[in-house]
Amino acid sequence: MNEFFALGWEALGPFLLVCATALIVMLSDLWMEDDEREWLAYFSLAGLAGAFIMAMRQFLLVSNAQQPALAFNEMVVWDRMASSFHVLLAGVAFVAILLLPRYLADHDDLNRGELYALLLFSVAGMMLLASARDLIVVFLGIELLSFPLYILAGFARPRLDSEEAALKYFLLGAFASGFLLYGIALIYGAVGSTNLGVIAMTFNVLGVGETLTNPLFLAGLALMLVGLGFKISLAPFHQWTPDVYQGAPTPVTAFMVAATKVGGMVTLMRVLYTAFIPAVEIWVPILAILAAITMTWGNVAALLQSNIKRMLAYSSIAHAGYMLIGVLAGADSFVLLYLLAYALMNLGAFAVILGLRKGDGEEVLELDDFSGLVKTYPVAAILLSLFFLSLAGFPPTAGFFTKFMLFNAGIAGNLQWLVVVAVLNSVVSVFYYARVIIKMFMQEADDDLGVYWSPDWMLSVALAVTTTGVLVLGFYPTLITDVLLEGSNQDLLMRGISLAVTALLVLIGIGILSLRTNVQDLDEESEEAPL
Amino acid sequence: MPVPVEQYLLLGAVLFVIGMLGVLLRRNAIVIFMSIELMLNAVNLTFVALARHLDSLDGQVFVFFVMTVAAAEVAIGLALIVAIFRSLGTSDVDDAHMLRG
Repeated sequence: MNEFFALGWEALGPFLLVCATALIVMLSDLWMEDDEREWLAYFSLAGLAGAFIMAMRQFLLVSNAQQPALAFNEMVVWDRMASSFHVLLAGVAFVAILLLPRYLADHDDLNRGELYALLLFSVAGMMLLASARDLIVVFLGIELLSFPLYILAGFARPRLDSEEAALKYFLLGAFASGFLLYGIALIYGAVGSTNLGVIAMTFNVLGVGETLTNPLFLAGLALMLVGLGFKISLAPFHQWTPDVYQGAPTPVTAFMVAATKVGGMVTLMRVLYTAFIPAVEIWVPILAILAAITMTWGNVAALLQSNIKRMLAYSSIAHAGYMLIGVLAGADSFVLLYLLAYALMNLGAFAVILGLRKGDGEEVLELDDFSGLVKTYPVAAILLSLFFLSLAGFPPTAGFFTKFMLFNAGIAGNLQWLVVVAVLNSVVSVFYYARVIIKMFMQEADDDLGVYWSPDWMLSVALAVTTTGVLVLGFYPTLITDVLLEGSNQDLLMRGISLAVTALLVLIGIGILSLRTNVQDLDEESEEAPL
Repeated sequence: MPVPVEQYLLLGAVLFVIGMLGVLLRRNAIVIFMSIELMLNAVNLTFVALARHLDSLDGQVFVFFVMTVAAAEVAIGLALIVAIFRSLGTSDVDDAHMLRG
């Protein structure tokens, strides 16, 4: 019995809390009437808030500890990286759930309780990956991340584009898992263990040169990189990404864009930093070339898109390329910071897109639909412009600051040529982000589209949180970076309160402006009515 | 005379490549899916052979996890294929081509 309690359960605290929430959501859905489903959203939010607070507490505990704690017979590690990613994942999932009810209000057929449970299970998988210290845990985490997403991508069935997205995602995802597994098997054959720590130690026992010339080991490493490359959509393994992100229901796309990148990057860092650090000369050049191809391909392809979901999908591929710079430079905390900004910008942009509707209830997805938005709904146009400017990396937004830190780390890590490629790519990316902004501000609206703006209160909260994050990380980053990068727990309460107050002010601002535009609508309607 | 481990590894590699070619060349979603299962089982064979060769249990435990995960994968995969068969009337992946660009 003692052994059971001595496994180190607290190392997986946030993961277990999210799993428990998901199970309760799934069970209680059985007794729910259709109009009560909103409570599942509230309960999921409560669970994620709990996980967020727990992870934050653990993060502060562990940042002052000297040694990382190992748990579950060294299969799980509890260190700063794990806890900080738990915090980020819980936050991202929280905002992603805020995006769901507005969409469900227009799509009754999707209003099934599994939606929340599957999303939570996927987040749990990502949290497990952040703590992984064994290839078995890596494998299980990746499958726990992917399986719910396969179902979520096809959640809008019988809509054909959603089913097609799910099928493509599933077949390619399972194919990639096969490569990852075969890589794990070969590495197990070369090393005799699946523990990441033990793999790193065999380099010392057998000698680095001896291990690196072992064909089993090299083939295993290559296959694992292919498998992981699929999951974080590195070129040339990225072809599924635009199709899946376009076909999946929009709030699910928002979650996939923001969260899977976090899960994928942390896995890559876990595996590369813990196990394969002695083989650094092998994987850095390979991944650097892939990163250059990935960002160029993503940005150039994004230029050609006319659907905003597809454009954001290619933009997410390009951003994965930028993040790899940080991964290769060994700057895990800057990657975390970039992922935070990236998730905020994308969730914010999707929140705006989800708040817009055409007169016939259809979603606003074609770029032409955004023409002249600033005249009718200035709030929506300004917020979307803010997120797109941030994605393009304009100061003073989160996108600029975090990208600057990331590229700095790349230069410090001797990857100058890759940073040059990335900067040139950032310039290219301005074109397609600015195209949408120009449409909104400079062009006249097509009258018969009749786009209207109607966020519910949860969407407004999501917008307030993401806007605050993007602005605070741009104007006053030390408010967040002191805690996230240096683990200082000074004035924690004050920081929290000032962030919350800013978010509240933004929320009130968005609320008042949205209300005003709605009132104007009513006035116009009442004026027109007598005619 | 026991079969040496190299031959097991070779068999695993051949099965894996057959599965991979099946995924790349066949167009029926169910056949593609079966090919993926073949790849997973090639991995299982490799794991078991290596576990025996290295005299360690890790590989055999891994196989149990792979089998469990593969079973869950079958449930999801077949459900998706049935769903798309109902809408399209075929399970040919080339006919699923709405999303392009």
